Amino acid sequence: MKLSRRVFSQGLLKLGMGAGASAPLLSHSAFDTSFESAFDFGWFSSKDNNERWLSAQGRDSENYSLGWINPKLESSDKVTTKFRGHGLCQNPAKPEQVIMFSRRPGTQGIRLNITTNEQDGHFDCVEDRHMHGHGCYSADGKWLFCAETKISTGEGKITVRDGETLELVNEFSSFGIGPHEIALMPDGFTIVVANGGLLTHPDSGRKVLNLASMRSTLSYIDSRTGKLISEHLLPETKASIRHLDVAKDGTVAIALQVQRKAMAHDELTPLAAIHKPGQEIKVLEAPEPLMVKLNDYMGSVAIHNEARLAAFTSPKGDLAMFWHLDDLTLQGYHSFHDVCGLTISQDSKYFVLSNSAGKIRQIDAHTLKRDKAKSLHFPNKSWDNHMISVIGL
Amino acid sequence: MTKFLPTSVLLISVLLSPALLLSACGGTSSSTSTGETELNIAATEVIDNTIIPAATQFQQQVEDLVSESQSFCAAGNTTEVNLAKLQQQWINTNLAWYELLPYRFGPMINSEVLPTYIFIDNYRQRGNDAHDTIRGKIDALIAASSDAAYNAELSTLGANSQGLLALEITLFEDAENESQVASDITTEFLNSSRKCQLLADFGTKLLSRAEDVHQGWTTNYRETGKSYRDLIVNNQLEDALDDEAGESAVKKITISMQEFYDYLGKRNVTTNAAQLSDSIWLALDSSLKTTEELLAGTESTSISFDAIMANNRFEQTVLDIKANIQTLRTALEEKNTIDTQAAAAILDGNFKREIPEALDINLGLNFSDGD
Repeated sequence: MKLSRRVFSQGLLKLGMGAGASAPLLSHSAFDTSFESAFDFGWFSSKDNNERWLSAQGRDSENYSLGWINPKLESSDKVTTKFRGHGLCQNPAKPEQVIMFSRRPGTQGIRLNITTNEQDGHFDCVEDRHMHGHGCYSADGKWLFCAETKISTGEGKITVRDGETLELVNEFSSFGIGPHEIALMPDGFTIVVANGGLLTHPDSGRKVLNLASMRSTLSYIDSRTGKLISEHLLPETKASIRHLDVAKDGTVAIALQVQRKAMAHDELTPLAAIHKPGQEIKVLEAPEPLMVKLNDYMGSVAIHNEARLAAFTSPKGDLAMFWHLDDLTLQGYHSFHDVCGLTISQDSKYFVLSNSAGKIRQIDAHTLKRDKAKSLHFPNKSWDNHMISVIGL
Repeated sequence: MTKFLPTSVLLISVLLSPALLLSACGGTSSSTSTGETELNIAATEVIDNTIIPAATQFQQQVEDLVSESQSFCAAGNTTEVNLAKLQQQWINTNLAWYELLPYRFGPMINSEVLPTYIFIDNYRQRGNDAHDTIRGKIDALIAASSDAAYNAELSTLGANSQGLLALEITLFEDAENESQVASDITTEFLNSSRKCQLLADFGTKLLSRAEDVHQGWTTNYRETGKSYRDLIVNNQLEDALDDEAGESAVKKITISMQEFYDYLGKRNVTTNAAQLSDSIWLALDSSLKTTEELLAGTESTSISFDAIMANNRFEQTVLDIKANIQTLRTALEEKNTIDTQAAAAILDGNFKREIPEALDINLGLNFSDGD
């Protein structure tokens, strides 16, 4: 059932999220204008840089888990999940809380307490829903947004869960099919959604059911009202917008996956793009041999704010690539087998890359060269699609 | 319509044949226990017994092509008989190339931005037909009014305007009318000294790339002072170079072979490559032979991929793949493009799924099953 605007508004009012509520939960007044303001940076500075990199890991249902690395100690650990995870996010108000979402078409999520290293929360999709592996918190950490699909209709949904209890409290449209990665914009209330445009159904696994009619959009949604602010399309209609990251200035870097079988032509298609507020999406170009090597697939993206670089990884091309956010030029690339996990080290010195052989490489964010001394290998870990960097307690 | 019916029927039978559809009755993951050492020995033997000999053979054939080109252009030698010999040498060189082509990694790449192989066989990159581009360049080179103009034009040749195709066009047709009549070709060589000059220059450029590949495999890979063979066999690539991807030899070989069959299944290789020389079917058979050698080994092999798969209780997989190879051979013998592409697609799948499973290797969780 599609929620009417009136029903949706009632839901918001019930949650205190409506425009007329005395204390709007996701408004400017509560969070000023920046995502950063929600963080307790004193908390960070008081810690001894106890950095952790977290990622879904494991090759089979017996070993699927949320794994993490302490790069300083060169150690790793995990909590078993029994489901294959995908993306992760940290609660900005309670940094000890990290959520891992199940991979499409999974229906579960868990919360890890990185102080105790124990799972302290779990949630399931309601009936007729499945996840897409990604979500994000509201700026105050009170709400957890999750990309889901209503199975019976194929509609994309952004579900809203209580940040503490993880109970479902509301939902709104993603304004597209197959919402994949989502993120909170720096204004603290807009959610940017990568609507991949690909219709799948759990009964047919990961088979795409709408190749001919697929419509992928980058959609900006007001999380306070559920209203669409704007949507943006790529020139190539068979390029699926799947992953994204947001810079401090609101620039969004997006990673694409091309549905080659559905294309009427055989031309190479860019797999990375940038969207800046008020502008159209601009694709990022690269020399042909590199474009060919990517095999129509980018798996992850991360922005380095200080260096003004967007990094992208392609496990099908064994490549990480780095473009400048402003002049859109390719700054470098790095070959790494099966590379997909991608994050920025807490000291901002490195891009951190992972692969399913358990290997970690660190690429200097300024020279874009590998620091071989900082390479790590955890042979008993199989790092999956995404990795995030957090400060542990 | 009826003309196409047999092919369609054959295609359907190819797709549905029990021998081609690999059964799931092989070993289970719990039954496999391939040791890293065993796989490394097998991969090392493939490198030593198959890949390096192929790289050596290709370089030798290019050397012979350059040498015979010089001889052909010498005074009094530009005859139709000698042209036929030289054309045959081009075919031999191309056969040697197709034996090496499935091993498109390491010294075949050298640089991700300007990979070596695209200067030898630009079509392999993504099936872009460069016949007309090269013909235009050849016309411009022949028409150059001075040596300086010629050299300037030569220096602008991109990867898609040189290599084996440039030599094929130079040797198998005249530039004036694209005539493939031997007398027209020899007449043009006799009447235009530029034609011999560009034959020599195309040959020299190709030889340089062939030497790069051979040298990379045997003595000095990317200025490391060590052979790619030693670096990958001894797992030293990541230490020697900052930007090597880092997978093992057995994975490199398997993925590269899979990519070759993906290429053969998707691109119009049989209708666009080696057409003037009418030798593409023979060339593809050369690739198929090296595929068989990769799996079954040679007389010098102590443990083959087939043996490892069988030891892992995937005997049926070994048999099924042999049947799939035979299907492709039949398609090549019959010069049937549709069946060739269908059989190549099946082998592509074998190298993507069944062979890694039977060898007990993982090509990469994200590579194989990302989201």
